[in-house]
Amino acid sequence: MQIKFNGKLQEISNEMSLQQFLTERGIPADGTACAVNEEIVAKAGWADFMLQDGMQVDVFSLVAGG
Amino acid sequence: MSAATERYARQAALPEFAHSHERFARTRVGVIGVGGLGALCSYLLAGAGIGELRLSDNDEVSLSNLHRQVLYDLSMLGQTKTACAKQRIAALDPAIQVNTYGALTDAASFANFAKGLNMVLLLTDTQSSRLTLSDWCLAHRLPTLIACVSGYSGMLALFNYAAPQFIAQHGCYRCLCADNPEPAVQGILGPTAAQLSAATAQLALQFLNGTLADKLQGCLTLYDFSTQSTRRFKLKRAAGCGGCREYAD
Repeated sequence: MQIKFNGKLQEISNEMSLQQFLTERGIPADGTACAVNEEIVAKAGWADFMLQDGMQVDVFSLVAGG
Repeated sequence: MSAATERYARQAALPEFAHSHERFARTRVGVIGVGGLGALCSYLLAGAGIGELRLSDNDEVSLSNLHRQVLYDLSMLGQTKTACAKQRIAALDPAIQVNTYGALTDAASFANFAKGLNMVLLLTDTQSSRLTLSDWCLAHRLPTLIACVSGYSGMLALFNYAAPQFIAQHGCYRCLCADNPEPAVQGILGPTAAQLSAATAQLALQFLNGTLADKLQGCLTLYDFSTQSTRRFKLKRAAGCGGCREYAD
């Protein structure tokens, strides 16, 4: 199935959770936020969130500073 | 033409803001953190005619601030930022009431600061301080605008804690950032801080004017100033978030 990851299409062969998807791509959980189909998914829910074909995943680093 | 009519003529020429300065004159906004974001943002709110600004910060102006904190200058080194911001705003418009506060270190000092406010802008320089202050804003049901900037990146979101349905649907700042370490401090260019300051002030004014676009409600906007690009995501309450659980129903 295809996932649009940070704007680029990627093919994944197996069903996987959002957590697995991010881990496979070396995305650290600390300091990272994630959205699926343009809606934030809280970190506590990453392991249970199963990706489906055509989903859009965006990750970004949290920012501090003011 | 009265002085007020003349001062706000160009603002009032926008149909949505035709009578905004009369509304804004009765509006009270708290700004927590008057550094890279909060200083310029306060000045822009004062320019728009926000009647009362409460500024909280315990920091003093230093030489390393001046490249981006454009409200301050060499004559102000060593003085508190809140006093200097008040001085600059008084020179812009003495009709604006500016009250200054040090750091808000406990719930009681926050309650004193927050009484009667229409909105709070959380513009401190750490995630940990924003988390605590956001909890207090939530407890007081205050619309809360949170902005942060570092490197070339900025984040901006309005958490309308005054609206129970907002909390149930979009949660709180803790839903977004809890369980994450404090992000590392990065360098920053003056224009980066200025651009996010202006975006923050614009969002605050549109909200206070009652003309905030629907698509900005419950949204987090991410800015990449290196490419002048933005991304926008819907905030969603985190199931089990300890910060907003008791306010979501």
